[in-house]
Amino acid sequence: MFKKILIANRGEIAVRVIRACQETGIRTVAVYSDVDRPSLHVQMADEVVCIGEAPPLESYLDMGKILDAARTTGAEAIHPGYGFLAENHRFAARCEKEGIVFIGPDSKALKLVGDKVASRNTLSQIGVSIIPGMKSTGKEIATFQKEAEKIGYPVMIKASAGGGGKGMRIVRNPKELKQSIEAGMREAKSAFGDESVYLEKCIERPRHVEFQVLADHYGNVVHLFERECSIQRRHQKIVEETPSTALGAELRRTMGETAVDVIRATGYTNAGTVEFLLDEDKNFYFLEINARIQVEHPITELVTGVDLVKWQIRIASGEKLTIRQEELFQRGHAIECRIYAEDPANNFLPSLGKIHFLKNPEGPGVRVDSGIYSGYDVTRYYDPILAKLIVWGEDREASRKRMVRALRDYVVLGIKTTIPYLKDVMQEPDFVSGSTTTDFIEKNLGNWKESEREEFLEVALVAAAIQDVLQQEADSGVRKKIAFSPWTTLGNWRIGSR
Amino acid sequence: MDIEFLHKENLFKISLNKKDGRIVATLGDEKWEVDVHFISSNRMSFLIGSRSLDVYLAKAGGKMYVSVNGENYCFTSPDEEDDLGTVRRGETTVETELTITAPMPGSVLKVNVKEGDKVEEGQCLVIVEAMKMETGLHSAIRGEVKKIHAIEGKQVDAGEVLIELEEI
Repeated sequence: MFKKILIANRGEIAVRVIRACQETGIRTVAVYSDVDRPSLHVQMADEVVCIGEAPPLESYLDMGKILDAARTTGAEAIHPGYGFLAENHRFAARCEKEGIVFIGPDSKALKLVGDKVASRNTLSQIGVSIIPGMKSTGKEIATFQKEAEKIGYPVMIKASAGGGGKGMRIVRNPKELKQSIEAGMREAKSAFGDESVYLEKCIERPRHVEFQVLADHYGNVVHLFERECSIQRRHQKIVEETPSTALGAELRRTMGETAVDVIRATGYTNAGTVEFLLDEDKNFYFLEINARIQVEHPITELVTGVDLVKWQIRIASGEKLTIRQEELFQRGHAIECRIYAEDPANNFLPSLGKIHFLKNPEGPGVRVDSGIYSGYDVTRYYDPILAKLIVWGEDREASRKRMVRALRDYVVLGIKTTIPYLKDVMQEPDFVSGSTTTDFIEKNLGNWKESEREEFLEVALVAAAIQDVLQQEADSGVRKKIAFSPWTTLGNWRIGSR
Repeated sequence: MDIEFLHKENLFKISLNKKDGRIVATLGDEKWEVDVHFISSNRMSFLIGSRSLDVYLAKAGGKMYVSVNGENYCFTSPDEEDDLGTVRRGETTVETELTITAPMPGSVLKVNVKEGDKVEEGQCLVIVEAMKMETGLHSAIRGEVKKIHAIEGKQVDAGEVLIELEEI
């Protein structure tokens, strides 16, 4: 087992990996950009290295600086998290060359699955069904126009190096094509450092169902069942759950076996996810392999009892996978809600600034993977994900109700978050009944407004008034000499004394 | 003691008094007798009769953020009206039709028009980016580009004017 691991990421996923290391007795090295000095991963790691300025290209995407940091600190392995360099085969190759273990698949498999076009071609040859689309990426608008006509509108633009919805766009008519391609290429370039995009047929009203897999270096491959990730906004998942309400035992088995076949055919090792689109007639199409630990991995951990991040580390260190397929089963139901620094009432614009107060939800079956704290300043430079709220329940309805309770128990003051929006998602009749397709948001919550409950408005006003009085006193220095006593007195009358 | 707050352009006046160790708050015609327990600088427990309410507060940038039993509210003090007035002006449709402003802090990715260009309603004029997400800013009118302040690659603050339009 490794003695020291460098985590080439930030935010909640860096925290998640650091925790796995702490529980395994592995020392951790965090890297950070100058604006991330106050970030949680910097506080939690054993050692830290500043790798440059805020823009990702000058820090978290700078391979040289990260490898230098690993060498200087003597880290034997690098965990890339998700995003940034996680699916970059050049980075994996450089790690291999330097004798540092990249916690993920090897550069060859990463290159194959990272090239969405090549991997689809490879897999269609072994009989895995894929969505009709371009056989290669394009550069010229004319090429895209010709291909789009051939495939037939609507078409989907996808980033070849992509993931997480970055660069993805639906184009419904030829007039929108040029602008969308340009935007898709720019987004792909800034998110992955590679602007290649391609087109494929857009399947309407599908479900997004993915299978988690683990594969070691000795040919052992297992799948850990599905995650349903159909609740998406701008192709970004916001809610995930497992099991999927769309799969019966037979379909689950078939899709699971296909996922394992896909992993074997690509020579993929470590943790990965095989994404499928499931259409209304329950036909499934291979989409892509996500060659990383995914944002939504905790729901799989909760229903299978398998710690995926620890297995990533074990597999990378050369250990054998001791879990057998027949020992794995899904127990209960798990849901994840992504907490973003976005204003859901204002077109989900990023909401930046200081989190003045944070209280995480607690209680049975509640897990919070978070990168924030009271006093944390949300900067403009990185992905708006702040935290993930994950709940487990004996069945779907118990899990859903628990999520509603936990969201109500989640307090973030100072910036806007998606919490109030997620509360409404959880209570939307289509979600309650499990009719979750990728058009769920557009159909049910397209024009969302926060419904403030008048019931508590007056209470809130009274509380604000009390706080204001206390604040004024504290500011005027009335109670300055007595530490923290504003909270026991109010003006010239004491609340504590009766 | 009287305190005033603005909430969604409504002015509320709250008077606070003390009675038997409780706080009596008067709000309009209503009187509330509240047993307040201070838990921390950001948290209070309210008992109103037998009703228990969990209250979280934070004051920042002239705003008071309050969360009661999972419901969020934001109040401003009328003293901060100058600041608020600015924000309000930015939100009125009359002005935003002619001035395209950055909706959030970020950087200007692409400017699609030149000064003097005729623009159509709904045309994408400029793309700003923050947190790796692109946001296109569209014209709400048919008009002409009067002045461009936005420079590609430059950081901008929320509310900063990027493009000025003129009606034709």
